[in-house]
Amino acid sequence: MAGRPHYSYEIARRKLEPALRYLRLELHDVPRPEIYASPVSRAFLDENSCHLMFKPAESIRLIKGIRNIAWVAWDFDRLTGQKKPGPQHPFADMRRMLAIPDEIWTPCEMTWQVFRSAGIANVHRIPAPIAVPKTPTRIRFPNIPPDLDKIAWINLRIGFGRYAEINQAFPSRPHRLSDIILDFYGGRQPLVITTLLRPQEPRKNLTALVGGFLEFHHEHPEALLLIKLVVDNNSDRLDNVLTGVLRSCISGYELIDSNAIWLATDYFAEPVLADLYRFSAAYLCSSLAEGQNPPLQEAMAWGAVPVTPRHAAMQDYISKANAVIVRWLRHSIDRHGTALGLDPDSSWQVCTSADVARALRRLAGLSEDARRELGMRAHATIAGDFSVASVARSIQSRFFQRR
Amino acid sequence: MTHTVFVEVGPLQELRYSGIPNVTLNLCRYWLQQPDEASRFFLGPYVIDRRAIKTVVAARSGGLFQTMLASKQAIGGFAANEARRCPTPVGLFPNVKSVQGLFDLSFQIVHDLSFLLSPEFHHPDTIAHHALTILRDLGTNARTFCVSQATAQDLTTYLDVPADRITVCHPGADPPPDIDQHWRNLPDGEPTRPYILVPGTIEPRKNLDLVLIGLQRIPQLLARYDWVFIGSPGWLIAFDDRISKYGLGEHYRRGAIKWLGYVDEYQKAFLYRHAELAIYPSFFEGFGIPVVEAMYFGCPVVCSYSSGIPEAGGDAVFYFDPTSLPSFERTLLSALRRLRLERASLRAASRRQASRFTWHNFGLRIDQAIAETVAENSRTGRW
Repeated sequence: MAGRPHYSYEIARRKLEPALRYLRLELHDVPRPEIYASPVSRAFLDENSCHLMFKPAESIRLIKGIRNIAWVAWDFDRLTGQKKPGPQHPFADMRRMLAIPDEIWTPCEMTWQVFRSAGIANVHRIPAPIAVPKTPTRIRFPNIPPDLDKIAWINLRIGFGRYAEINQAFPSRPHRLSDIILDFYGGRQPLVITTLLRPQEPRKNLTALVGGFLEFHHEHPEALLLIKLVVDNNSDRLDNVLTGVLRSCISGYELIDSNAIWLATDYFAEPVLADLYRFSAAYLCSSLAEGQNPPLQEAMAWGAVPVTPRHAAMQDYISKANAVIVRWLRHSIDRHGTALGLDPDSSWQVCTSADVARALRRLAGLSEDARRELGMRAHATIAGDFSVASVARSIQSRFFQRR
Repeated sequence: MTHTVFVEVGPLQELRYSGIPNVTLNLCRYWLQQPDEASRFFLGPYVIDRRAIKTVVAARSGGLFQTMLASKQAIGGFAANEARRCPTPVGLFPNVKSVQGLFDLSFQIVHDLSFLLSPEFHHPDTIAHHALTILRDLGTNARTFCVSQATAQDLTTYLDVPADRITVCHPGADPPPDIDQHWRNLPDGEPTRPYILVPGTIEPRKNLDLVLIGLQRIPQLLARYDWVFIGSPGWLIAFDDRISKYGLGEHYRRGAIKWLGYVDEYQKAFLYRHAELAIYPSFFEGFGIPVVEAMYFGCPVVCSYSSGIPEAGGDAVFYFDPTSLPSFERTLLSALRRLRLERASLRAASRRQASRFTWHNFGLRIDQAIAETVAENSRTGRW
């Protein structure tokens, strides 16, 4: 198995490892697969060895002489490097790169179709598995587990233009979850909505997510939005995130100063993240494109109600029966900073603040029982199609077919 | 003559001749030994005077070449005009193609695809320079020469170059022809303390960190041997910084670790001749000329089994995995043990392996492959 540091792929690799171990496969790390070019250097491999790599297409590297499988996620309806004028880096041509390994594994049906229609023959749908608890139990205030309550959250206070320095004048003060509920919700259990995202990614559509929640919160002050930001804690410290990263990802506001939206950048160990999902009534997603969206699936596995558009990878597991669906419209890609780049010939699926607010109102309008029922169905969906055992069976069928 | 080979000599402008400039120098030396009408030398749009190339090759001086170019002493007219006067002019490019469309057929040497496969080891400008031209260059080659089977495989695997359009030509490692004369002027004598030689430009791909970490972890290696690093300052890392990083400053100050910077062929030969062994821990090489250079002087080699290096080392070296510190330490300690018991036979095996690679054979194989391609194209009327 190989993979240079790359956040999403590192996660996919970590998640697929239990499925490979479930099959009792022997796993070895191969940090630089491209260097093994001769029989002497491949002596540690036998004829049944298989090289499984988790990398974006441009970083595909083979171990020559054995079977090579690349696990590649892709969120868009076109590949990069097609019909571009002028000289280009050979590895920027996704089609060329995807044709190099013996086989491509991709986590969702939409990507499978995009790859197939680009002429990539040997593509198979193998999602990253999700650890699914047998019966997810909910957590309510004041029974917040201590490790979850240790996490520092700061409220979203972000200024633009004339308010750009607001964080320096009035810095946000870190709160524990129980303090937030005591200070701002009178000690009553709020309607907790959670999301987890990398703020730098334009496809996460932060403006609609924050704007939609603010609109909703105006009518439903009992709601609380917890955003776990996935950032590099060495270089993207929380104050930098507020003054730098978020300001470039949210537009259309002069000032947001909300005690209902709280941010954390701390590292969450798996059990703490699970507790956060157990504490949340819903998981909110406003993405424009997704290759699998494991955080949404993990929240579903723990019984949180998905509030999300149903497009791209979400088509595989989101339905009216297990989610509150956010309305979206297909739109050409009009922003820089995506893996595809600015590409008016390609499209993604755009939902607005109004769409998010509308979906949240529907969520709030559901009874406790109806919400619990949706959460249980969400859990069952993930348990059925994305559990370690289920993905292991798909992997086994690929290996079996080969032999 | 059925054709005239125009050898591109751009790399000779480098001040120091190692790597690709050294390959170019030896190609020039080969063609200077052939009849004058078989070849021309060119740089960009200019023909380079044959006598100038002879002088530069004899002096091994890029500085001299630059001076001769600046004073126009080296320039002998326009390559396009000369090409029109010659029968079937073909271009031979030792590296990136500097001109397009000048020759009936063109040939290119590809050393490695490290700039594509391990871009983290290269400066972004280098990546852009090579990566944006490689497909265009390969697409216009009548035949591509690769310095190893490993590089050839990379071309077929990653860039779809048909295997039958590639000829593998292993470079040579024999020292300059006047090395014996040079040695005669040197005093005899053994080094006062045994030393281990580590060749390689100071850049991350050469993986010198592995050796330095090994020295940090196994103090007896420093107690028993001096460690001599040779190679020009390169990019992205600095030798002194690495020494500090691994806490080896004291050993560096008192001379147990030395970095000599660039050494010329004569100094290098002297160092290899007296070294206990050489270590070449590189992550990725087209071929690994330093491995064969060391072996030419009977110096046993401990090297990584990466990319093209096993083609250079064959069965005569000690291999380790460059991504694994335990593998390196095991292999080095085992090699040092065997050296105590089988010094003569190991040195003889090194010399035998190195003798398979000569610069003359490198030039000859390219010469023959060009002739065959010209003949084949002539038969099929491809141009």
